[in-house]
Amino acid sequence: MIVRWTLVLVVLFTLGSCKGPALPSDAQIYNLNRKPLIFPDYTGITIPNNIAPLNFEVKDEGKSFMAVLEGDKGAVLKLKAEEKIFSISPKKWIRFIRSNKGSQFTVVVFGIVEKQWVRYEPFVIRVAHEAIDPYLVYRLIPPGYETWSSMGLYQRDLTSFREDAIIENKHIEDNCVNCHSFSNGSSENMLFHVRGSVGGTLIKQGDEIEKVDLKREETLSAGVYPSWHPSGSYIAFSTNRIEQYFHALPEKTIEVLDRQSDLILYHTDSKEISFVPGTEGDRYMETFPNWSPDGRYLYFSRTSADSGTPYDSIRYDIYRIAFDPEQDKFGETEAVFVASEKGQSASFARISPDGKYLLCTLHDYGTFPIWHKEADLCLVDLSTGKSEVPELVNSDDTDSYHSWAQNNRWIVFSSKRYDGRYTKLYISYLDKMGQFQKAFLLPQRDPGFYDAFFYSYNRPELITGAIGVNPRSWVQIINGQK
Amino acid sequence: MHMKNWFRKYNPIVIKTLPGILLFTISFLWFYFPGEYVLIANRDLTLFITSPGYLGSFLDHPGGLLEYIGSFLSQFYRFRVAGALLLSGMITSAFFATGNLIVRISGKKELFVVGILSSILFLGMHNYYPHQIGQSLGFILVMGLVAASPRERNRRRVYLAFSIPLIYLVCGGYVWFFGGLMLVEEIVRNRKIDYASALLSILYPGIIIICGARLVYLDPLAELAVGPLPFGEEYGKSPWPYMFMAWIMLSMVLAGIPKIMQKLKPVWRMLSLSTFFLGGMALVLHFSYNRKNGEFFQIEKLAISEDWDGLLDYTSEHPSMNLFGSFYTNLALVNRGRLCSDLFHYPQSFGRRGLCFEYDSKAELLRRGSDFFWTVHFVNEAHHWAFESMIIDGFTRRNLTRLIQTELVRGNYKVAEKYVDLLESSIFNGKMASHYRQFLYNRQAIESDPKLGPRLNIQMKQDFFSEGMDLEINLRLLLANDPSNLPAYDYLMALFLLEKEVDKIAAALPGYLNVNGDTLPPLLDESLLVYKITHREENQLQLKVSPATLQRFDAYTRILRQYRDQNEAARVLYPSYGNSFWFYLNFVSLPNP
Repeated sequence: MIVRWTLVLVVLFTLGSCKGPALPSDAQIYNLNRKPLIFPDYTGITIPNNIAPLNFEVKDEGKSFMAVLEGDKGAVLKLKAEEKIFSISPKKWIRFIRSNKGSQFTVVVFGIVEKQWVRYEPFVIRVAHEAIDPYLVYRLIPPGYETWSSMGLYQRDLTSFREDAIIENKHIEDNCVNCHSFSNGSSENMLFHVRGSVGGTLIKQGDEIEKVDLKREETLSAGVYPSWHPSGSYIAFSTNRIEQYFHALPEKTIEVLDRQSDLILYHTDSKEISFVPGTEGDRYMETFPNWSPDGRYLYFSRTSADSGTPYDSIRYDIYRIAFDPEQDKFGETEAVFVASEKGQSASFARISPDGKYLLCTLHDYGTFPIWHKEADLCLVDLSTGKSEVPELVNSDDTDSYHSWAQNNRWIVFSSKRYDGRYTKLYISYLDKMGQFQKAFLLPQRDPGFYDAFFYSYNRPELITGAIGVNPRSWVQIINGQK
Repeated sequence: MHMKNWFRKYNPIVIKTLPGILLFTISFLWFYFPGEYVLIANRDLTLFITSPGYLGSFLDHPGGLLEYIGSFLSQFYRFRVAGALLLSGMITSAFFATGNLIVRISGKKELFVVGILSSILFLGMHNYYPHQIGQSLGFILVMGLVAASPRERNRRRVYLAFSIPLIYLVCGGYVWFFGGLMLVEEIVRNRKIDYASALLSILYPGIIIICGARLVYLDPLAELAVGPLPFGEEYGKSPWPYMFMAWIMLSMVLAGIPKIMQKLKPVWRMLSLSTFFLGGMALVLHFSYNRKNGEFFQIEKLAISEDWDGLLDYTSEHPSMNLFGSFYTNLALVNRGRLCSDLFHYPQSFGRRGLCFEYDSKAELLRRGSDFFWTVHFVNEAHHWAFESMIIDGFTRRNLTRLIQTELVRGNYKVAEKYVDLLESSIFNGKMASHYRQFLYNRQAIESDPKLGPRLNIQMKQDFFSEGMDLEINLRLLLANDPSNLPAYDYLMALFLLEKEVDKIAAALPGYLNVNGDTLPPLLDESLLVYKITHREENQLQLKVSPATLQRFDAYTRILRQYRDQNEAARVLYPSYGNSFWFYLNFVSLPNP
């Protein structure tokens, strides 16, 4: 151990002698019994082996910060902070985490605090064997209530910091764009809605893109929350009559309620729409459909509450209805997770690609958890029915929409934990024992990026390959020029 | 020196400097005094952030750089002197830009004075307050580039080939004005057309724009072709940009006519020019100045600075018949505790809408509506309106300040800190940012602040949903939570007065008196009297009308009885009783909203 740290100090001494003050001898460095305060908090996390560099900023008082990242497999990365910010070379980072794949590395931070060199307690970052799906699609929007202005759908390359616009609404008469959805994490089949003067639903199947109107006389609304059947032949949508109200209590903001909702099935070949059996009518309200990865079940949130039920007593459970894709027939409906028994409501059911787990958002009542501070992610083991609200993932603020990576090991989810208003994205690892690891903030080139960013990240969806459609093509189709 | 010589021989002092100084002085005085509304209306349209990201947000469309510079310059409108200096500088530069062009074409330096009319038209353009300083800058920049263009044919072609894409990038649609001026200048100066230059002037911008729309930009072609020229739906209807451009073209053509005005004697020439310019200025000022706008923005300025007494003094002299003017007047009244005393001292032609707007996602309503909710201590709704305003307008000093205040009161320090940082990174707002920074993570400081403290301490025991369309319900629910909320009570009573709901006033009076220290404001006293008269039999209310009110009512009814003709009665009563509830009850009926 002593030899190792001496080696590290020698390397740092060499590094330090090039620019700025150099590290003194080991004896002159004071060891602090605490970890450095860094942002984002990357201490003790597990990361995908293909993630972009984890640049970070030291929030402690001090100057001339240096860091040594030493892998258990031997590789060492030495860093010097500029204005307390550690920016890691992408090339070096990729080599470093690849060499530590399936292992871990230790981060030691040094700095001058009150004219004294100090060494903070090291922290560990584990590098998983498994990569994360390389692209993440989300909507960026100022989190308004009734009005909107600038927004867009974007895809982020998680292996770098590159973010590309899929579509920005300034090019389509400021219409609202929302509810992007993919079939089994592939950009081959995707859709998103456009609401407004050039509204419709953009459906992409392979290279074909069309704009369709999903409103039918018999449906409550056009299709709202979507889910692609893995075959690509069907898309389930909820149709909703939505109302929203503004709370008076300072700790609450807005309540978004369904007054009526049903589920419909859009047949992508025939372009016909049919009701999902048993969901039409006012007996129940059903929403947030989600196909199981094998396409044999359609999961959804359901409540028996009616218009007379007080808003804070409306609670949804997760149900599923069997589906036979060969026969194009639905079967029996059954309860999967009865959250209302515990006085809670469950939304956003998403099934892991291996079909083992159901991840949903649990909140006190209602159907729209994104403004509910108590909302947490809940993992349900579908084989045992056992549910858990994992501590390492959840926070005191809203934790809500989520997406699975295709290898079942990663989730990306949205959370308001950072500032209580502007939703940000977090990544967490699910180990083979079904335990989530500490979640970390989506890395950005500049660690201070989020402090000056006034958009919310909506509806994160992991996908396995980039969407290859030129934004111009979307714009032309939306504007009816193609 | 003889006048003849003064005028014939080019004298830069007479031709350039004096008119320049005169124009600068006149326009400075204009924008400092009657035209100050232009500064007020435009001082908080954008929050200029000193970051590369902010600059970057302007560079994704042609003309963005011009808008960026305009956004920067408009920050100076916050300071009356600086704003007036800036605008007068812009107006004077129109004189110099035009003068240089004319002299270049005609070769006659004495024709420099022709530029005076350009300045006058510029003045008219700016009196239309939606006109932005960046748009004027576009005109000046383009005229300057035309004046600096080479005369020699080949060099001119090269100049056009390089400058047109550049101008399009920086100034957007102003490239058309540039092309037009280059073409006219070429024809008038050379008396013949160089077809290559002509094609470069007119066809080339079109090709650049179409290529930009096909290959680079995703915005609609129409937007890419003309933005940010001062035309179109967003800009509104103003003839001044058209007149200015037409004048520039015409003056260039006239400059090419030999011996123009030379047949006139110098004295007559000077007289006719002076008359022309003075007359032009009088006409432009007459037709471009809108006194109502001037008054309204003055009221808004006083409201934003919370100079309530100043506002009430001003509206006493200049009663506002504008919805927002009425809204601000009532806001001032409630802040001074005079709403139920002096409501009818001021025009109330908008009824309940003059107290609080019904929710609508219109920028002009959202921008101002938050003030009502802040005043009645309904912090969540104040935040809601300010946030929606921010969504539509982008961050401004006004909505950002309200967002900071509401987030501080609600204890959302992290996001408040984010907003304070943003305010600090904008120019001229450092002091305000420092002021609010002291409250971050410091509940005690918030509690002792005269603005934030009362909102923090309001007792909200029972949650309810805000009623965006029903003021009465909102106020009643607020009062159910905190019956000591005097501004909310004042507004509720004012609402009943405006709706002539004497029964409701009577029912609410005991509660109101508890909060208002047993003081019955005159208008409520007057309404109580009406209630007592109309409910003689079932009147259970123990409250007494003051002797002064009874006396005044006797005098009022005495006059009223004298006239059978209601209009005549109203005319006679108005001077003494126009501010009473009885007069409002008897003679004022509001049009349907």
